[in-house]
Amino acid sequence: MTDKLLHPGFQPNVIAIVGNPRRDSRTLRLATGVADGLASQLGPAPAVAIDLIDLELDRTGYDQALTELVLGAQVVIAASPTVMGSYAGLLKIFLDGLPEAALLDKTAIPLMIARQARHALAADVHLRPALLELGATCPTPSLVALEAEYAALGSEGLVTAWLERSSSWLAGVPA
Amino acid sequence: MGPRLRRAMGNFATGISVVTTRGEDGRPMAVTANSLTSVSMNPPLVLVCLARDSDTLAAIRATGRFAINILAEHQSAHSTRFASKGGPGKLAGVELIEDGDLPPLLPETLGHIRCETHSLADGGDHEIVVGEVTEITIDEVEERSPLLFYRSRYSRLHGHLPPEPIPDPSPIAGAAPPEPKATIAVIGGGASGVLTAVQLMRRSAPGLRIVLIEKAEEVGPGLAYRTDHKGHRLNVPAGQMIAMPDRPFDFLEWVRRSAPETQPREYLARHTFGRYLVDLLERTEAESRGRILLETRRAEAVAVSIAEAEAGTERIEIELSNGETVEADKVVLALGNARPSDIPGLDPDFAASDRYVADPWLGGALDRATGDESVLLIGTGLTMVDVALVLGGVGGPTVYAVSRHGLMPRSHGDTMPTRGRPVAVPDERCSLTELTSRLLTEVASAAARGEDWRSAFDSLRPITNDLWRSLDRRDQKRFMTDLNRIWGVHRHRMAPRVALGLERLKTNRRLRVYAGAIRGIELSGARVSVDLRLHGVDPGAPLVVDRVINCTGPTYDPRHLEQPLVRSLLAQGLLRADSLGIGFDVDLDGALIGEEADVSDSIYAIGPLRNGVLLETTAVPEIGKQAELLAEQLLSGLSSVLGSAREMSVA
Repeated sequence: MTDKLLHPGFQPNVIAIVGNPRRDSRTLRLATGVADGLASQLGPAPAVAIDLIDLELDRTGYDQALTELVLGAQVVIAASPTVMGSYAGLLKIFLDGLPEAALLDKTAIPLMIARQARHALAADVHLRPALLELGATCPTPSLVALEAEYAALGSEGLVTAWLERSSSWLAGVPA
Repeated sequence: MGPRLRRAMGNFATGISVVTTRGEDGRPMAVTANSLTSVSMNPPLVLVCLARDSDTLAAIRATGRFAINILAEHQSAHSTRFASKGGPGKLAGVELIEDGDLPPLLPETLGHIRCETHSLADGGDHEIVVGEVTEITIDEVEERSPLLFYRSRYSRLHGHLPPEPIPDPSPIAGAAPPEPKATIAVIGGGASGVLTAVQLMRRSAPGLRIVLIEKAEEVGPGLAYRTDHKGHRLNVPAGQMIAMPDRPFDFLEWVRRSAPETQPREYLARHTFGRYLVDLLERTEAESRGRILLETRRAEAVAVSIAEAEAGTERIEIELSNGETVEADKVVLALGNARPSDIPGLDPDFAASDRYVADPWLGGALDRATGDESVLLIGTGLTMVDVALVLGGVGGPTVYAVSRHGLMPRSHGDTMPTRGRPVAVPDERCSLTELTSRLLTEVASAAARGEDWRSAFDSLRPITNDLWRSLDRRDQKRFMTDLNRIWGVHRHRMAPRVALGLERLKTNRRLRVYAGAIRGIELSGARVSVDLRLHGVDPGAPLVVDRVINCTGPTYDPRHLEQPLVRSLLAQGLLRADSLGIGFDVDLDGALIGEEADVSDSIYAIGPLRNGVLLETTAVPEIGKQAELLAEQLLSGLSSVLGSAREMSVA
């Protein structure tokens, strides 16, 4: 995202990092919905969802401006479809490029869309430990949606249900 | 006789010109002349008188060509130099604008006139050279002042006399317009009002009467385009100052008539646009004379009341400050930029003192500050930029500026904004988060492609108001609370040379910009003590300045406006604030929405007043579009009396 593009005054409260190798994915839509819902509970500061595929990151996965946005946010949503039973390499590359303990004192939320029911645990088995390793607190259940559920409930339905289910855990998020 | 005539003529102040030409061998020659006179317009003739023994005169006789350069006030050295008989050496080291074998020109003048010799006549010890004009250039951009010659000394222009009071225009004799069948009153004679009047004149069937009400001396420039400070530039390049959507290049073409070199990417002086508005109104009036009656009133509209006319139609009575009442069928409020809103929690003693300037544009507030003073500006947006440029000029005070985030407007790029990939906006209704994300992503990927981040912002401009209206109220509120200031500094950018000027002030430590909050302001003897809490820095002691200027920018919330007209509309329930409380509530046509959610069919608002209902409503291209649509709307409402609007011919 190269630095100094946007004024340092721009700081979203909630940022979703989306690692779907396809642009404009359902993962992006779902993550945007969650980011939007959480941000409006936290105050006036904006939320953003970044589709990593649009950034054309290099192999190190490091981007100064995006990293700064992540470091300044309160809540980080890490979103990916399941790929080979785990989360996508695009997200992995970005997480690997973050500085050590980048998510310390932040709330992180694993979000995945799984093609098959047997991959539903990928968010908890693979993604959550990576976020914890970066220092994040992950107080809520992961948001895992099977493709069939997505088709039935749509992004909005899934977001509403998850926000309701997570509200008591999220009550601890500092406003 | 000689000395006495010289003294007598010395009382006749003149400008100074330098006559340039080339010798038969092509070398440039120049001589000073203050005897320049305009002789004839058709054919275009001018004359100068040159001493009989002048080399330059000999060269003009031989080649039949010369040029006249009108000197600016910083060029007295040129005048002295070329007045002497220095021979060919006179021009050594002088910078010239050369164009083949045409007579050379001096740069940085007020203008040039190239001539071919029309005739020569006997003038005693001088020769009268009459030239037929072949080429004219006029400096419209730099607005230099002329060098004058008075009582054998160089002088400068001190100022202009106020215009003679003009009686209310009566219909022009010989072209008596038809008896007016309908009247539209336009309240406010700045850009919004003038552009509305112009569109009405251009579009109406014969028989319309327009009454343009403006309290300032001049109709046209309004607040925004009145300033003649050289640092105050348009924030939009000349090629994009589209005042009339169906004639997008009218402004550029108008500028080029006097300054042919003007490029579409130039950021011109703001008052150039002010003079364009004056001219546009005059020429449109001249074109529609006999069909449309345009009247102006130099007065303030102080109250509006609605009277029932026959057949259930409304008739509006507008009371003016001079006691007159104007009756109209429709009224357009084009009140433009209002004063800034008050800063909450100000100490009343301080607020009432002359140490506090509540509105930088009122009463010459900016002229008072001098070099030994220091001034605190509250706000760091475009108003602050304007004010800092005035104050920070040579010998001005030290300027501090503070706002919550210390964000200053970004600069335009050095090149014409390119049309980059537009931000992909979904067709269906989307959330603020989605829009923010898409914009941010496009900005980032534009940068990755080596393109300008500005193009991402600019691509949203045509659809900004549609996107804004598609947001729900919660998102609109969120935007206004937090994102708007970020959006504002990126979207409403300043001209590159303005940014440069500001940067220079900062480098020289004449301007210091802080992010922080003001905890208190109080008088401290003859000065002002400001308790600042800055982000990340402890100022240690209060900041002590001589004056504090409110630069938070105009407000449009009618409840905070003090104009009697706005009070009158509010009191009658004809007007209410929009749902965000930042502008007038209007419908999509601009019709006022009253206290009872009733939409007026006779009172409309245009321009900045629509703030809140629209996000993008203060810049000329948007106002120009609104004026066009509003004119159509008003005229179609009057079509039963006026007949249908005129077919517009495409210019």
